[in-house]
Amino acid sequence: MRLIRYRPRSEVDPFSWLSGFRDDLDQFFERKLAPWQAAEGDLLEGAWTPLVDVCEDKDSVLVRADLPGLNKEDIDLSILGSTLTIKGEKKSESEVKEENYHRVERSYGLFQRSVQLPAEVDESKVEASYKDGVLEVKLPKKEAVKGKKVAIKAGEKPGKKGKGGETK
Amino acid sequence: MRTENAAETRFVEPRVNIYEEPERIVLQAELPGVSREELDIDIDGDRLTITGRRSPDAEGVRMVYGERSPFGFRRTFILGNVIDRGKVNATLKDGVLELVLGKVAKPKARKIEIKAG
Repeated sequence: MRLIRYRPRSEVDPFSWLSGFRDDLDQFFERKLAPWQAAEGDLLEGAWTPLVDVCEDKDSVLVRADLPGLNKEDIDLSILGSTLTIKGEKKSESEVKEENYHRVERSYGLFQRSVQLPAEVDESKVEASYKDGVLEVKLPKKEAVKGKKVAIKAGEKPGKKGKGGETK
Repeated sequence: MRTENAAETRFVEPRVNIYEEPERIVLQAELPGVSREELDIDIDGDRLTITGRRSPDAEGVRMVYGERSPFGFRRTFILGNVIDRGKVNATLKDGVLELVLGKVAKPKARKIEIKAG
């Protein structure tokens, strides 16, 4: 499973080496944080990256992204080959003076995430919904990749015909 | 109120913004995937606790890659004396809870009688 994380500032960010250093530290202490725990990572990278789950059952691939407080119209979905890209913008819903804030933990602004799908999907049958701040994309698998059942014949070794095996 | 087994239930803290206006304090908490029925807001004395649960996945689904928290959300806040416990309003929209906490109109001065020794 390969996921491409969009990091617009990482190449020019003079502090990007810090996040690598943090990974080293985490490895040293064997306490690698789960993505939903490593909130401070977003600050180092300077970009907001929504958390994504990719699931599959036998008929379809299901992608879910935590996008609380967005307008449906501000989410843009596209598929290219087996890559699903979610992008958009989270706008601040209230005009509040900075000095009136007691706490600011929520992130705003542009985001983009690309996800490698684990199977070929039928692009024409993709369905997406947005409910309770979660984007859910259902991508039906192509008929060909659902996996055809291969019947196993009894009493015959393939490729060994005529070497003492029975021939039908 | 639901009962819960503490050992089986784990929570992560939701991200919040808190800002103050002359008449009220507004708290916004990000609770993606939590519906109205799965959200509890409790005020116990000066403690306000938000608890949100997420419904589990359907059976027969294989997780290929998971970043989203598998746990629910919980966070407790201490309410100051400025907040009127009777003026708390909550709305949940698109995974964001907005709690509007009205301030006490005017702190009442209490006269303390001094007894003669």
